Amino acid sequence: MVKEKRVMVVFLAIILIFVFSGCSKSQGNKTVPSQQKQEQKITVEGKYEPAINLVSVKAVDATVKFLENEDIHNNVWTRTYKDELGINLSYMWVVDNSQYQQKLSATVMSGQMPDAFVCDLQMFKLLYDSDMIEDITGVFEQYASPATKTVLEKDNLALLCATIEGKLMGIPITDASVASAPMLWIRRDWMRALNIDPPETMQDVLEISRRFVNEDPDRNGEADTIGLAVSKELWSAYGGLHGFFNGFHAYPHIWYERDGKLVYGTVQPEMKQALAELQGMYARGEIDKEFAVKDINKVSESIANSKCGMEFSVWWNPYSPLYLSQANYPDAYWQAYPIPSVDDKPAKSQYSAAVNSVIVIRKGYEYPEAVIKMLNFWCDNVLANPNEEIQNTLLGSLDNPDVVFYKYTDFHLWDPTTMLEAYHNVRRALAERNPAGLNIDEYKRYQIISAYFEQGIKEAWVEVATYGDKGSVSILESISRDRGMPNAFYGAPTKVMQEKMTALNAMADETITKIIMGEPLDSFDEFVNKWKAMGGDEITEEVNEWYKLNKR
Amino acid sequence: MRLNKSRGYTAFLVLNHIILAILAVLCIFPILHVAALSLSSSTAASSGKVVLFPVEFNLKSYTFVMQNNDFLRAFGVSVLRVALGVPINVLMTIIVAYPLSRKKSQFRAKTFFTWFFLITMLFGGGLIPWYMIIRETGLLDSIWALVIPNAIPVFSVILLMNYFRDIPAEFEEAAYMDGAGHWTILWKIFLPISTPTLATVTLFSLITHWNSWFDGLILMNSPTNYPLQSYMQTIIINIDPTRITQRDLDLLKLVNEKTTKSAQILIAMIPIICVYPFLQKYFTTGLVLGGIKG
Repeated sequence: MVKEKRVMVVFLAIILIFVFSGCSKSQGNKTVPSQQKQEQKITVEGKYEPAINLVSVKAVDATVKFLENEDIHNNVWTRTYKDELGINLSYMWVVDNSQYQQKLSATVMSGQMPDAFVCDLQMFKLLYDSDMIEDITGVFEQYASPATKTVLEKDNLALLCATIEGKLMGIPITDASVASAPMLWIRRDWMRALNIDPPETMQDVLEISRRFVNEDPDRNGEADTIGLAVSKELWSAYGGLHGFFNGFHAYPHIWYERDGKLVYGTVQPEMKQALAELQGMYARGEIDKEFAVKDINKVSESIANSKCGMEFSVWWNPYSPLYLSQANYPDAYWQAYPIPSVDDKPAKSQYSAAVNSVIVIRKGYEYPEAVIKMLNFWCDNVLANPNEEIQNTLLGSLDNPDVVFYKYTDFHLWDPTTMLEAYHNVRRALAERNPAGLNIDEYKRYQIISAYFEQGIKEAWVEVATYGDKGSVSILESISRDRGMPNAFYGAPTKVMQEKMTALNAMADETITKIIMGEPLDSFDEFVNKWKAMGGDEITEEVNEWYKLNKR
Repeated sequence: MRLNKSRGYTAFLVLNHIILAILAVLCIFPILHVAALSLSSSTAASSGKVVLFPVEFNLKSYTFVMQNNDFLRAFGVSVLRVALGVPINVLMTIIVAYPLSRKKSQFRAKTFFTWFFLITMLFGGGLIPWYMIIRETGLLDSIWALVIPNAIPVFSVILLMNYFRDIPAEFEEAAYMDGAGHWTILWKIFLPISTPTLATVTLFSLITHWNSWFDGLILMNSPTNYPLQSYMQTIIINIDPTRITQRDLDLLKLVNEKTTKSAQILIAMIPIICVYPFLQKYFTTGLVLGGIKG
């Protein structure tokens, strides 16, 4: 024991020496380029001189495009990091998004850790457990600029997602959590054709579904329409069922508090009433008889073909696939509505923390603060200062909208409230017919929405239905206020969860599909018992243990 | 001859032809569907109206693909890969198959080496060790990473080895008497009479190199070095819409670009379709002779 302790002390001493020498080296070389700073209106603290190296890895996709003679290793962001911060950012490799996690695992497991990189929550937990990533609690406190902290604290779940056992182990990549909340989309032109009022209750929704099937809303003389789009995946981003269940106060797939303990929504009794209604709809032909074999691509086809007029899905659906309806049938218009409720209690849309990935830093990397500095640079200069010139140079050029610069770097954060702010700004500008004060993004939307109303450009409905008055973004706002049901569990997946959750969810999907297609409702109770026996109870225990530690 | 006319045989023939015809249609149907998609308008394609014939015929997607630098560059990488990989595969197959086809008296370590190669066919080290070896040998991110790790296709070696074994010993003995060494026997006698198997081996290797995509994705450090099929994989794979963020919205539009995807799939198929008929006639003889006579 004594010997072991001694070894540990020596080891710690060595680490400390390294840490201190690293710190003093970087601090000693920091200079503040004050003159330059004023000229460029760019604020930077502590440029590294000589420049340090930071090796990362990067996922790209088909939308990442470059200016001529530039590539991922040489572009406005690599140059900016070098000139402004003294950081030579290089990439060990660049891979297509679809293979990123696999390639990252291969690289990390073969013993080659990049200095800083983005990983998903599962890998994050794994890296923490194998002690491969740096604890950045102190570094973050010391170096993060007020703007960076504000952005990360706007979504109050964000930093907690990257905190394990009280230590901040990475920087969460933020997005608006409510963006995953479902809402109700209905073909407004069909509702008008049949003289239907916007749905107030879940009963209205069922009524609309019935009338869409029976009263030929597209006036083509054929009984070829269905009431509600459902995909075989059941919970997909379009043609999903979360919204439907939410109308019955059931919240599949999320954890929420009931009598002081967290429970899993999928196995709660509220599911049954919704399932009974779905079963009825299926029997009456209001849900595609073949939904169990039709994936979201098929759902998107039936939307494009004007075969269905109602679905539950997220706010961005007009961008895809709903725009296809209008492309084929010029008068088609989908309108978003808040999820109606089955009783007098208002329905709440469920959503989970938007943090899917985390920026982590290799344990032992000499300059962990470099990552914070890059994020500071982004938050101070791009987010907090949306001046047109900077946006043009750092975000993307207006002349060539296909080339988007910010996609060249992973070290950026987004303000989760931008969307809601944009909605209010655009709305104000439209009311006053004055676009002054809008940023580039908002101005684009303003122009498109004006084109819809002033020039009758029907393709522009996509922006009207999202950022326009009473568009889907306004519904997100009410969800984030008091009509939302956030997932109370936002930690990294627990042990049994990692092992069994996929199988349990698959079992749930199978049961739900079968019940919709006509199996007796009681099989749901059987499923719940099986779910509990097959690991559900263990997971619930684990989650509640986590809840005790993290309850606020 | 009586058998030819028996009822049972006729019934068998008819049934056989029907089953084969159905199989052939099943194989051709997806290709025709993709061809029809690539020639249709994109709204028709996304609303699922296209089945076997183009709807609102146009060539837009082909002009788009032909101007798409990424596609053309990936096509180039694939051609280079085939140009390097196939000759290396065939050469290695030949020089491995010949010694292994000798008698034990001529090549004492034969059993050891046969197992040595066979084991690689049956067991693999797994993704990580494979990746590490390629990294440590410095092949990563170069065209050689796609060519050298698969330089010896063991299955082809077995085919050719069996074929060599079946060549009557008299050929070899006669040549040996006339003073020929192993090299001369291999190049001047064995190879010229093994054309069917060599054609088969070439075809296998060609198809493997043209079609493999996974190694490209894992071993190349930048999408600009992807061979064609790795590139195709990145454009065809479906984006998971449940994990889309605000910034990915433009990516969503790509999901519905069915026509250009189809055009690219079709163009990527052309080289193999062109080569196949010419090598296919050797294919059956090469395989059968290699297997059965032993």
